[in-house]
Amino acid sequence: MIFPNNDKISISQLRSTLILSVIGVGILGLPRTLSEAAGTDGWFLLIMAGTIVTILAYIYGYIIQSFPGMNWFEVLSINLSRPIAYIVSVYFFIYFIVTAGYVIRIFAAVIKMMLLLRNTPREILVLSFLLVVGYVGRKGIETLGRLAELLAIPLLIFTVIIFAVSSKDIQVVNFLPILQTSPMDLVKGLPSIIFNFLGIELILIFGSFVNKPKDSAKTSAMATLIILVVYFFLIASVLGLLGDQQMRYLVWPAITALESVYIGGGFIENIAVLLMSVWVIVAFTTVAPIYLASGIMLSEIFKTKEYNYLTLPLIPILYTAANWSKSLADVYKDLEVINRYMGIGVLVIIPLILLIVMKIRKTHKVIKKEI
Amino acid sequence: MFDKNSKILLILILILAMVLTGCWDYIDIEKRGYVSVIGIDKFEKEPMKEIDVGAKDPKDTPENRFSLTYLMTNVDYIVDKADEPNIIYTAPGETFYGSSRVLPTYYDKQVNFGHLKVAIIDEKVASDEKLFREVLDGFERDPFINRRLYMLLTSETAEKVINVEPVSNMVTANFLLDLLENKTRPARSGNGTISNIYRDVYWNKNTIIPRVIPGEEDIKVAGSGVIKNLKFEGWLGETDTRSLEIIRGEAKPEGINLKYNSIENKVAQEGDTWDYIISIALIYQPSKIKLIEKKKDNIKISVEIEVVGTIEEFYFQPKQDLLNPKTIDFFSESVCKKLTKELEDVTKKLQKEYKVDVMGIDRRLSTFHPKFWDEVKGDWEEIFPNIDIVINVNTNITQIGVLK
Repeated sequence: MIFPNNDKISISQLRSTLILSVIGVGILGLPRTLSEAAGTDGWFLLIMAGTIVTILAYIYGYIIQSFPGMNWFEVLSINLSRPIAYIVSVYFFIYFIVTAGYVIRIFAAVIKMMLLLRNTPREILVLSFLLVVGYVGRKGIETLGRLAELLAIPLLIFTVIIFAVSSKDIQVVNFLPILQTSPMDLVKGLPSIIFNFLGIELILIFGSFVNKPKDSAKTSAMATLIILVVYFFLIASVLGLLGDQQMRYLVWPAITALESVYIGGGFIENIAVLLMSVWVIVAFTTVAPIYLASGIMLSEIFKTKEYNYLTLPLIPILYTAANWSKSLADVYKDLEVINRYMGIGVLVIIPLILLIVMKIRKTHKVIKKEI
Repeated sequence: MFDKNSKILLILILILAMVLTGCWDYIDIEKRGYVSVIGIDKFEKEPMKEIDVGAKDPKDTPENRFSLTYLMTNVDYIVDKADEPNIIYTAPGETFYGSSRVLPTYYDKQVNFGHLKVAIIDEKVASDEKLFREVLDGFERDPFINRRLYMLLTSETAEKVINVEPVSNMVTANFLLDLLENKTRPARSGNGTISNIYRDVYWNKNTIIPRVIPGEEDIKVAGSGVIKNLKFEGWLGETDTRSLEIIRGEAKPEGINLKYNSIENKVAQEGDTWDYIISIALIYQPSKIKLIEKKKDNIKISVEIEVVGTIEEFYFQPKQDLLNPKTIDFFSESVCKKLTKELEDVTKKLQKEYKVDVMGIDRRLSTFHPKFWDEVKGDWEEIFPNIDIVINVNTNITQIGVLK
């Protein structure tokens, strides 16, 4: 559905945007995280984490559809008072900027290592990526929605095909033994896996732009389930190809796994290259929504009419964030710290507090009466 | 002279033209040296061809540990412009990658490992755990090295293997690759791709690597070297390697010959008299490894193998009737006996002599009996030589060709 320039997106555009913004750079390292946490039971841990996130996503959607037509800042200020709304919004804003920065950084690191010569400056990669992101950000949410809708289905089909090709080399024995990890270990591993679903919280920001807000809860839960299926395919294929021991040592097991797949006829030597080229788009569609969301956050804090022009000044900030860590080891360490202290707030604490306050004060019913 | 729009258009075209100049820092394919085969030897002698430029330069003597031999295929030879099919350089180095950084001081092309097909490692490097682990890490860490690279071991120097120009294909790299990728390559050496080798060594640090033997004008890949705890342990012969592959469930179709004594109606053992020889092609089904006794000090394992056979060659107008089920059953039974003996031989060798589990028994235990595996995994190295392994072979000869 194409909307004129009125800041509206359809519900399916929202769904596609959510799917693409969650599936991003994390997909390459996810098999390693799962293997470290639960060995061959990684897939089970993934399903557990996915279920929790689906419930969370439903809550986000529920909050959004309870306040139709209101933006995130207004929802916050109605429920938690205006000063707290300012604090939370700034918190969200910083979180978005930092996450986007690190996503870009990992993107640049992977591209540089896997596709380019070693002397390519990382800064050039980051900058050229940012310029494209900035372009989409300037065009606003309708463009992003249309882009996501256009890309989502081909990308999903392509991913499935790539992993289907690898299925002939999968060894079933790699999936065994099943369910040997103790429940305590599984619970301990949960948080790090839940962070692989970061990006789903964008519905809180984008929800106010949807043309039919009452479907938000269903849509966000649906989006999470689709993401879970994609992740599951990925894990099954990488685990089947490499086995759990090897996955722990590889930085990006997904790429390495595909490098060992051989397609008969030899029309393409390395299908990992195919994955990489698609993955560039995936990384882009992760950063663009976060970037746009940080622009929207900024405009809501300053109560400007338009958010488009506020996105451009963010590019230097993003650039700094992307180049902050010294090495790849630092990147993953810093990212863990950010996830632990900021991700948990954005993903769990703030939405849950909001839900409780909303239920106690019954603010959503008051709003409905006023409308 | 120009209106505003034309000016903007002009500037745009100029900017675009700059972008369209293409790759200004491109490298022509003939400027690159694609290493197809790399030979890794332990450094033990003076470098082969240290070029003396005559200048009185201060000589620095690094502690060389590796001697690397690079084989680049001569592209000019393929298009009939040169006589030499192979370009070979040997460079010493402290580390495996360090040596490749020195190579461009006397090789005029950019060295690239992106199309590396075969790596040959000499026994001495493999026997030194430190060196061997460095090599294994180097191949895995480099994102451009293909994971279908073949790794081979040799008891002579890798340099010697690389310097052989095989008769059937003078381009040594292509010869080796075709040899290894040949679909009818018998199960007389391991698979050899690094993705398989890494799968094993990540699991328990033990694996087998195909053995390469240089001849005068030929290169043979047969037999295998056993790696125990990331260190070379010993060689396995061709038959032993095939038997091991059968137990591992990875053997490619092959066959055996039976010597047959028609007077006593039995299969001749070594030294017995025989009057017929029969050649049977075999397809090995994936093996099944089962745990029978489950006590820590008394582990009994059965290896069950299904084999499907075809009689390829017998004797013109024989007395025996191959359409008679009894004859076929007799031959099937004989194949079972012979195979069982071969498999038991290799099991004994691995258990008693090398004391290394490359048969994948530990892996099967950990996947199918995880609780039991937790009990024994700590002392598996001591337990393995004493476990009881029973081999059961079941043969089905299903085809006899078009002759009765």
